[in-house]
Amino acid sequence: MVRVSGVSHRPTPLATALALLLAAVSTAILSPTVAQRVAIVAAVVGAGLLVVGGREFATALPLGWLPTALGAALVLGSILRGETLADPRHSIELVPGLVGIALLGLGLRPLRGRFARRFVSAGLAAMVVGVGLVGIFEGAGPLRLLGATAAAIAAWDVAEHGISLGEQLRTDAETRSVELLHTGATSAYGAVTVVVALIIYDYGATLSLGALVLLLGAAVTLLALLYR
Amino acid sequence: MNATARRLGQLALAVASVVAVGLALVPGVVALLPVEAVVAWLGNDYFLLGAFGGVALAVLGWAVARRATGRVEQAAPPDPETVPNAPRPGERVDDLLARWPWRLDRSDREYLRGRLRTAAVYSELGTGRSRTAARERVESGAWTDDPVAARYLSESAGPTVTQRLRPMLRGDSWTQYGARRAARALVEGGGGR
Amino acid sequence: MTVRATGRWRGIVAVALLFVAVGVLTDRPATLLAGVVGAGLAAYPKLSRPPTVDLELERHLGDARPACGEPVTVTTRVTNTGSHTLADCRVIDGVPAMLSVAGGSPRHAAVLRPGETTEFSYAVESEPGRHQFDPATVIARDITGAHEVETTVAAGTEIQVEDAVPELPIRPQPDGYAGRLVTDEGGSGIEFHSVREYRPGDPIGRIDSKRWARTGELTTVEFREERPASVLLLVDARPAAYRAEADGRPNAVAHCLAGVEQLVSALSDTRDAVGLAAFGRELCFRAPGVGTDHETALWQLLATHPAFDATPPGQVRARGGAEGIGSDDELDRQATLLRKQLGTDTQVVVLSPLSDEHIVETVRTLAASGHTTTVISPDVTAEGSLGQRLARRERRHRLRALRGADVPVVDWDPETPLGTVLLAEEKRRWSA
Repeated sequence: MVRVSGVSHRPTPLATALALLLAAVSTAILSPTVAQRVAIVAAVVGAGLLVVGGREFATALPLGWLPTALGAALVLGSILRGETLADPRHSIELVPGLVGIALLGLGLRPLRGRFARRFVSAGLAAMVVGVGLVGIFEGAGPLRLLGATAAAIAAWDVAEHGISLGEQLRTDAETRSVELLHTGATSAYGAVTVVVALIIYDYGATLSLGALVLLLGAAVTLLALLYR
Repeated sequence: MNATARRLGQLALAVASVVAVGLALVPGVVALLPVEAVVAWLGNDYFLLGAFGGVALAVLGWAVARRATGRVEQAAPPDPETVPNAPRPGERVDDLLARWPWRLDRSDREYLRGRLRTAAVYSELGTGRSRTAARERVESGAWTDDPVAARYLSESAGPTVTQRLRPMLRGDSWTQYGARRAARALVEGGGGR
Repeated sequence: MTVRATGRWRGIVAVALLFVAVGVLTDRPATLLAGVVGAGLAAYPKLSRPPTVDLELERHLGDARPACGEPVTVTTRVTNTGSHTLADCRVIDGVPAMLSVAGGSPRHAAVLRPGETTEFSYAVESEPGRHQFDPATVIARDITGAHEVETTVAAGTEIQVEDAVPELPIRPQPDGYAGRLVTDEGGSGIEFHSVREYRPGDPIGRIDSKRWARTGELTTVEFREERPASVLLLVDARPAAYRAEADGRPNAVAHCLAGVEQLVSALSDTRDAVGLAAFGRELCFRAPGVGTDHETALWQLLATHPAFDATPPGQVRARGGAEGIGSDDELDRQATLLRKQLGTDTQVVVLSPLSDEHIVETVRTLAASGHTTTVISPDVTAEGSLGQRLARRERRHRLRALRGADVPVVDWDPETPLGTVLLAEEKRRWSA
């Protein structure tokens, strides 16, 4: 009698791939040089292998540990490479993003089902810290920071969506249309917020100190209310 | 009541914040704020804005702390793919026999003995005896050749000292030892078809 | 229907706050601006409302009456009958509790525009019996995923796995009348039975005129008398009866229910009055009756009454397979209640795995109080551990004890269709 072996509630594959891609985009926006981009590609491929290594397939893969080992090596290698770049600024731009990609990969594998969301959140935190560091140390222009932020949050959202789909449905359920629409909608909305923020930036130069104080107060209050 | 009050308070705060944003964008109004005086008092406009940064950090800390304990609320749908599992017949006996002796309480011991005694009586009934005769045979131990099993199921005759000591050496209790022997006697020996 | 806020976006507020704080404290306007993006995304869920879910569900079976053991393909179609697009509509089909999925996935997610239909299919194993699909669970989220509506959509689909019951285990009543649907007692029925010597008072129409013409002898033709039986099908669905041979296999109650469903379909083709009862979560009793309405009511009971739930009660496993703890008194109570309501001439067919002595005693009491009783017992015991072997031996003794009390027991290995088992039993009895 054929039976479906253990129900696999892992994050769905498409969302996993899209999330890793968006995380890579976020990091790449901050890191313009070719050497950095190579490291990013290596990290994404490594994270992808980590995810693949954690999956169960209908027919067991020969050397099932190989993808995991290779993935871990690639991710660690890319982070090491990021650390040892000639220009320390380049390292600051790159390394938090790579750590974020790695954490995202671990969350989407997932290392432990219960902690999938925690890993993904930690990945977002790492990428956000990266944006913050670039903002502080380089006084980077707004477009880079805004784009990287939006992409990082979109990556987190898509990953969480994939986790939820995996938990409620299964890895083998047909979910692609939903994943694509969700990713598209979040990315589009993220792009809109970037544009709005840029408009505010242009307008912001003319703001008086009093207006800024009012705006800040209102913003912090509204955010606190949003969190509730 | 409390919840309504909270909601109203939050709504008021939200409205106030939106109004503040509106006012900030109307040129004349901002000039009415005593910003200059506050800056002069603080010494630097950085401190004024920095206060807001501090507040933002505090709220951030609160949010992160709550986030650490909170989780995403979502439906947990059923698993329709598989047949719901049920215990095996006899699983409880296996479970009690495999436990550490000190994990057996009184009711467990009574359950084991009661079940095995009933089984033995039923097995004797099958050989054409009356209920009373069957009970007597179980009580007297005549139902089996195994002295341990016989003593275990007998109500009057307790275990001998050796019988009590032997299982201890193997980490068993008398109950488990006796029950295992009685079960084995029932399964392998007596009654038959 | 449950509507809940998932709260999945709340963490983004922290991102926005971080950028605001860092931007202000380090005097970096561009970083402060990243807080605007964070805030914008944190406010994203506020832009949407929980979706309104109006769905229709249809199922198509590759074969509605498959042979036992053949996988059946189920195709489920879900249509959005509402006027809003469902951006994230997740469907978990209600596969019958005792069938397992053999291929594909009964879960699906799709974007559904108004009027749009999505379709998915999977295969289920077929086990004997009549299996009703549960309502499908639907989880619809808005595009941001901030709100989730959980509801169910039903479509009364059922799979009937082929296994006809050829003969019913109805026994001669103690008063000498055979309780089969056509009794062997000579009478005024339609089927020829025998010829006997004429006795004054015999109806003229039944005098064998041909023989009288030929021999001058007066004889009366006897016909078989049809005398409908009144049968109560009683399922043992106490927690102790939820036992299975192995994980992933249907439990004994599920087998009993499949058997009852077959018996009900077979009996409703006859003139016999059929009733239903169950010991279990609560006593279920429906007095024997005939007619389409009664039959519908029986199927309704089987589908909805809590006592006829094939899913083990939650605490069975949690109590380490507690076998009938605290349920003896409950069984006595239910049995007494049942006996009070039961008509004296009603036969009882008990379906039970005979997993403990209490049910044996109950059956014996039932038989002793004058009800012709038969037991059909699915065997879910196995050779394996000591406990399993003990349980198998115990069950064998219980069968023997019942037979000793003149209660026939049909020992049913659920691997074999019930019809085949009953047929074999019939043959055995004839040859005996």
